[in-house]
Amino acid sequence: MIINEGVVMMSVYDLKPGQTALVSGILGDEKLAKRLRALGANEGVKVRVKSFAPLGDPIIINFMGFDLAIRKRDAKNIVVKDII
Amino acid sequence: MVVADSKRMITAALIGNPNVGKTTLFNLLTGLNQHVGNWPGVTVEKKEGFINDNVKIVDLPGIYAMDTYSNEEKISKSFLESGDVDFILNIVDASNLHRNLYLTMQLKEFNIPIILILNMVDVAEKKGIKIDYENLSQLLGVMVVPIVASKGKGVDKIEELLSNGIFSKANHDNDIHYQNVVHFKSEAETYKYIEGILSQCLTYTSENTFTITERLDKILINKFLAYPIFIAIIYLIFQFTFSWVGQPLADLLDSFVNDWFVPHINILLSGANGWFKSLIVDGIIGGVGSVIVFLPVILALFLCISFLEDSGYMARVAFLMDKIIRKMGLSGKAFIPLIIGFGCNVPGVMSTRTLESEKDRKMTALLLPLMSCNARLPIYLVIAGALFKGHEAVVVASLYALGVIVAFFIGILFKNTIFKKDDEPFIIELPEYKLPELKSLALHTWEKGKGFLRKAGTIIFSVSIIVWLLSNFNFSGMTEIDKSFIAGIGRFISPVFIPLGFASWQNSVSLLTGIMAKEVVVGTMGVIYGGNLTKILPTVFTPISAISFLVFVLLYTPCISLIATMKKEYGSKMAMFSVAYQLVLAWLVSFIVYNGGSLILRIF
Amino acid sequence: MIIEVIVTVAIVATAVFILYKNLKKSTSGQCNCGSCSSSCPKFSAVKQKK
Repeated sequence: MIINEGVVMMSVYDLKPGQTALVSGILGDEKLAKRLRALGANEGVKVRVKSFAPLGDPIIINFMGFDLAIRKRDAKNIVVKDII
Repeated sequence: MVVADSKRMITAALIGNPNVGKTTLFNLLTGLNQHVGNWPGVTVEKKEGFINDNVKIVDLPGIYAMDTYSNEEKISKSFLESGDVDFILNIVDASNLHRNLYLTMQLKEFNIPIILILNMVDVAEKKGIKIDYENLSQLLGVMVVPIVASKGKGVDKIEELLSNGIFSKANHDNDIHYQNVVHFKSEAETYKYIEGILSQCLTYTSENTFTITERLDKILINKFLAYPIFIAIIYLIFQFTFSWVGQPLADLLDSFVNDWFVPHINILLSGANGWFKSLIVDGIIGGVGSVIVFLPVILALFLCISFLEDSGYMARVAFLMDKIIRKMGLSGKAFIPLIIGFGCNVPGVMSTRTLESEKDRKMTALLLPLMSCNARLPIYLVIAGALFKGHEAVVVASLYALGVIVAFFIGILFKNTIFKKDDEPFIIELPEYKLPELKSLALHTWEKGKGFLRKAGTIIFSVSIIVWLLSNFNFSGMTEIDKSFIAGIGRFISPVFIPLGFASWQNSVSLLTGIMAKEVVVGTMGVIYGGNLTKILPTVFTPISAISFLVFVLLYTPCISLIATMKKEYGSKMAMFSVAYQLVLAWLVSFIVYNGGSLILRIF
Repeated sequence: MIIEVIVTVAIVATAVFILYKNLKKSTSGQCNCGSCSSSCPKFSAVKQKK
């Protein structure tokens, strides 16, 4: 969980494998955020956590129809809402 | 607008996301008619190829966007802005148009005519996606060509478009290339626009849920199976290279050289003077021959590596290794230069340029020489073949592994001393698996073979002759090898190697000449030990001293090209540090191996 | 004998020349590409075909 100005927010990091949610924004490192947005991780896009690496990190997420490996630390910056 | 003069060379920029079949298309279009150079100012690969002598295709790095601050993007951008580009070949994955078209939208802003190549339309079809090409072309304002690069389908259409100077025609009547340039305020807006276009061009006939890639991933990156499978794959590669295909062929070639070629040359030269015969047989054939017989092994190994690279498995390896590589304080992206380093350290060091932080770059560059490059392979093979016959695969695999393990610990050491820093963010796409095409595998492997032969014909040839000269002469003229120049040089260095167990002057000289290029070690041994190394080496080495020697070869100062590259990229201080730390490291590890090994042998 | 000496001198001269050229290339930081992986970023652009 991320607590931002008193509001509790969910991130991709909080999802379990198999869960899908909607992206509501990207925080943190501007370069990474820009890259993720260019790949299509924009507000309202469905993002699904597919699986974890055997050693627990990184994780595989899927959005816009392709798989992306991302470190847990960076996954915390993808804020989501409405777990489906 | 470009008016294509029939005599003028037309330049096309080939651009697209990673893993969309860009290289396959490039190879199909240009075949063997390509060459590799460098982008000005940065050491990122620049590949160019030609069609019919009047179209030049420049293969740009695979990128997802133009504006997310990576080096690859900067290169592509400045090339497109240079004014030399007549048109853009934008290759996209037809089964994932949404994301692929994002780059297309940014490309349109350069006001260069675009041919949109929809690759893998068969995959899209299988996924139940139907595309209205006509409509897509109209809405995007670009020419659209559907192809299946892996099967060569539709490629002739591109060739036809390119060689017929379409641009002089398109020039006046329907200038669709400049239509529909929209400037967007944000990524989200761009995607909304793409969505709008695609909703008019795509129809989904069926909802495919479970692809081959997902099935394979269930196994290949499975929690319990992932690492055993990775090890099994590496094992298979080594078996293929050293037991099944590469080494047997190399043995054949070796017996051909030693049992057929050399006797024939001897007969041919029977009337010549002894020293002249020695120059040809011991100098040239002994030197070049002992290296060249390993050509099949090198080719076999490359075939395997190219297969893995083209299959999509490498990205999974990066994914599996990320946590481990992070312990060394490196970002996951550093994995790629390290993998390249197994081929040759030089391009590995060059590709560290694509890493983002200075510390990442320097540290990766320093660790790279510990990755056992292919040039060291002939040395392992000649020694393992002579002393550990039948166990070559194990010996070679252990050496590769030792390099990685040493790099791991040195990485941790550097991380906690010289290069303290935070982790960099890291993302990597896991592309769909695909069966590599024979043509591109053959092309890669052929390139390697050519390079290896070129090396044998130039540097190994020259050094062999110089070594032969130095080993047959001293200040008073021609002499016994033991009194020659080269013996003198060897004896000067050899005391350093006494604690390591392989202190003959011959070995010392071989290691010294190996700085020119690592294969030269074998060439030099071939000359000064005189020909048939398989018979001679067991009298020179004990098993323990042989291992100690191999460990030293693995870790000591790499070749002169690498030192020069290091100096060019990171300055002479870094280059000197790299050389010095590796010499010390090699000596220390060899010392431990030799003395530890001897001790253990004595106890048992 | 004379022929042998001439041939030897020629061979040695070639060897020295190749070595010199190679050294110059190497010290400017280029690999020989005999051992690069799927790509060699830098072999002297073989004369561009027209």
